[in-house]
Amino acid sequence: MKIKLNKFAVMTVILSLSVFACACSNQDVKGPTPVPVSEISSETEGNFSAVALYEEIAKNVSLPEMYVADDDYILNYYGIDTSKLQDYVFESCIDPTRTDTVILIRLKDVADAEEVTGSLNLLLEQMEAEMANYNPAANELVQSAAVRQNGTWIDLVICENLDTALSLIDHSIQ
Amino acid sequence: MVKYSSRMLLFSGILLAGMLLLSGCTSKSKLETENKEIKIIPIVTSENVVENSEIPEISTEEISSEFVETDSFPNRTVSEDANEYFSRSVFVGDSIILGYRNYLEAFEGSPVTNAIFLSTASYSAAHALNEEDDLHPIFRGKKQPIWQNLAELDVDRVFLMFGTNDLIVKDAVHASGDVLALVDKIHETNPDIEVHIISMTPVYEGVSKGALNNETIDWYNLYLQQGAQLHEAYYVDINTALRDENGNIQDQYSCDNYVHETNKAYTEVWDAILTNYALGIEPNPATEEDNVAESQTETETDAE
Repeated sequence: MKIKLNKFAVMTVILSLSVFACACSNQDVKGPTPVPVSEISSETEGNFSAVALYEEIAKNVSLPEMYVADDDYILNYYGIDTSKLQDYVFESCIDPTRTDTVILIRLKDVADAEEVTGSLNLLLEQMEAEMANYNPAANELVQSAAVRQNGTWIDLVICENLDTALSLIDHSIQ
Repeated sequence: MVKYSSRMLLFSGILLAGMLLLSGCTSKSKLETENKEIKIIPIVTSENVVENSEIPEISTEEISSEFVETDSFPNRTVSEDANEYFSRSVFVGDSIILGYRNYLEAFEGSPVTNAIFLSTASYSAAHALNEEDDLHPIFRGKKQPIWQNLAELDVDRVFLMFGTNDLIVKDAVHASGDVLALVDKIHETNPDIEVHIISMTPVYEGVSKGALNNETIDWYNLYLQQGAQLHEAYYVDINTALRDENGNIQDQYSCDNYVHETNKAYTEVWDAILTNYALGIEPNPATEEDNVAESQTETETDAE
């Protein structure tokens, strides 16, 4: 009887602490649950994936709060058919006044490179048009960025530590 | 707000006439302008922004009688399922709508998630009206006017939210006139799509850039609210729930002490109001109370 009571007490304490922890965490939550990075498409045949590469960049480059674009988003807004992609990460800053973006794509077929780089160049042009008379600092970052292709890999990175990010990509792709 | 509410009511009819004339929106003009290029109202530079006090008076006789009779159009559709409602909806606007899209991409749980967003930072109603504009949102890999995107989409309704970039360069009459002209253009090309106008949201205390300030925003929203019905559109008030007692955006909802909004604003205000709106639950009892209070103030003033 004594043991049962102790178990009950322990369970009560655990439940209470859980409820307390949830209540405390809700005070800081500004919205619903963020989509975890692990949900990004990560099918890959190589030794590293676009996701792994993104995580490496995120460790070494200061990025603001980002959202993850999914297949529907990429097709709807940028006209890129993700069935043609071997592997990708497509992340942009939640803050609409900033342009921080990390797009890492590995194509299944290099023949699709022109189409995909064309879509990303349109996106880059759009950001230039948006920021030209709007946010000089963000515009400067956009001006420094470019869509790059190396075989089946295509990237577009817009961030403050661009050189670091591009070095990491180049090193990984080699 | 209360201080200038009576002035707002006194001038509303006159200014509404101006707004309607500027947007060229009688049923007759709709027919006449079909298949013709829409007239773009020139952008007023920040150096010569017209103050509200300088808005030219327009005689109420200039309002066509046909016009006054156009206020009977179908009630907006609602749904028992907000997710379904917004999956058939498109949102169009500037960086505030872009911020909402980004928020919805980043967080789960909103019924608005499945809506399509056509938005760019710096976008204005004047940009949206210009067919060749460089700022049209990219959709499915191409840039084109909003009404063309809508014609290609199988959707039931569109929500328009402009004002921030318009009021920097135009007064409230011209800025709201552009929105209503866009409503007309959408009706012409997409007669089966409902058009909903979202109020412009309040800015941070002290913000004043061109005509972008909370007093002008109130005028702008009033013109939109009154013009919406005459242009067979519906008006959604997001402004009231975001403002504090002085008419400024509440601190908790401002992310940059300027015009942009926090995720909390999108969760607590946008999601909540739009969900109720989709379900047909009429929001904003506070606005109704304000209106009643304003009416009472008017009556008392008249009595004096």
